[in-house]
Amino acid sequence: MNNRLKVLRAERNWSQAELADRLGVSRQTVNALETGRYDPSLPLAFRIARVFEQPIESIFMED
Amino acid sequence: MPSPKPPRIARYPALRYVAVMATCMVFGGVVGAAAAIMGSLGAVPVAAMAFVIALGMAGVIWMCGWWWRGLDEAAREAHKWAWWWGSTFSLAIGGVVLLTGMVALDAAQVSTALAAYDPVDLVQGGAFAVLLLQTLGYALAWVFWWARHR
Repeated sequence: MNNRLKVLRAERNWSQAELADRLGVSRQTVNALETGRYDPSLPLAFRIARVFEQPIESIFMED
Repeated sequence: MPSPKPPRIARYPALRYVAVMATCMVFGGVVGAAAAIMGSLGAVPVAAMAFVIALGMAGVIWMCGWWWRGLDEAAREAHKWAWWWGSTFSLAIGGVVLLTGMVALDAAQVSTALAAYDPVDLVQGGAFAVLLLQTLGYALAWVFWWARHR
């Protein structure tokens, strides 16, 4: 699954560690999410949407 | 919509893991010492021995729960994946070695070679070999999961 996490994070000038803190995950998990190698659970996807104040479907898209 | 607080995870999960391992060893040491002391006092009811061991095991499980709650979902996924695939692969490899040995080696020779060992030691050695193999497979699978998800 593709996502716009890296772009959204860069727009806010957040580091991976900062985003990790906001989401309650580790920096390694943020990295895995950004590279598209780990698909988040629904609860985490909702947290990501809430942190970026965007609907889930505008952040995650199918391959 | 107000943003709920994110779940709290351990800031240094590796340190927490070391703490859990160290505490487990202490629990094991205490239970072992208690069992030895009880044994030296004479005939100890099996129920009393089981109670002491169960108490130590409960402490270990509680520590494992504390460690698990400090992990985020990706870290948990890595451990679940490693538990399944690491153990399965290591047992499969061990099975190939064991079955090949059973077929290829002469049973009489094996019996003669093992005759010098205490049967209890052999059983314990076998159990530890399985444990070691599974732990090794688990560790390799865990490393593989994270390498694939970087």
